[in-house]
Amino acid sequence: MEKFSIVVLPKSPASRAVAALQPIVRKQFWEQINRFSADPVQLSETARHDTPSLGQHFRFTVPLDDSVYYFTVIFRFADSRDENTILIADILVHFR
Amino acid sequence: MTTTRSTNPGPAASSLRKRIRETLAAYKTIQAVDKQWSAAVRDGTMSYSKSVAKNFQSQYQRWLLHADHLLTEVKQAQRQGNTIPGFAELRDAIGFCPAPLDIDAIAESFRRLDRGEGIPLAEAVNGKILHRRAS
Repeated sequence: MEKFSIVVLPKSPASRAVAALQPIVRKQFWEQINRFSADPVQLSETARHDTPSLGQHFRFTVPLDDSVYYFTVIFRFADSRDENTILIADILVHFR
Repeated sequence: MTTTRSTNPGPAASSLRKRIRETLAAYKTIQAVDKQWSAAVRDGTMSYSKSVAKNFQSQYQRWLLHADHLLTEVKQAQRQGNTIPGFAELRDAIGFCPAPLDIDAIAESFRRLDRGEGIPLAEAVNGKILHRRAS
């Protein structure tokens, strides 16, 4: 399977949430997204969930000191003919 | 993350353990029903309904309100040297709880993506483009 292309929305609440992160966390966030795009198996089998109330999503954490950033990334494939592109619709960030 | 500073928890710590177990059980119940509905939608025995999705979100929101309060109490107990099993599990459940998601906003985001407003991730390296366009 080829590497995924990932499309994101500028001027969205998700992009603003990511832009507001501390630079070190934001860097790790994009690195994690890039890892998923380069490893479709991980994305498909390990990190992907699917519930109607949430849609397709994958989740990961970024630890920082004694706390943790929790990311939930809502996405879908571009269309049924293009399963190598995923569209990121929203990103939920929790810091606990 | 737990500590091992105390091996003989007092009644307050024991109570917190019990409440964590109950809170996590409540979360798993919501998730189980959510996933059950998900499976039914996937196999076509039920159709997707935004009102049902919002109902699940309301349940998650009520749970999060309670769980967040409990987490604050647990952190306080940990700072006082108590070992509270289940702390990490509770924190993870809260961290990944989907309660704050806006279902209508997600739908609008997908509509924008359908209109071609999305940009490739490669253009958003380190968030620079996202930040510039969002400001």
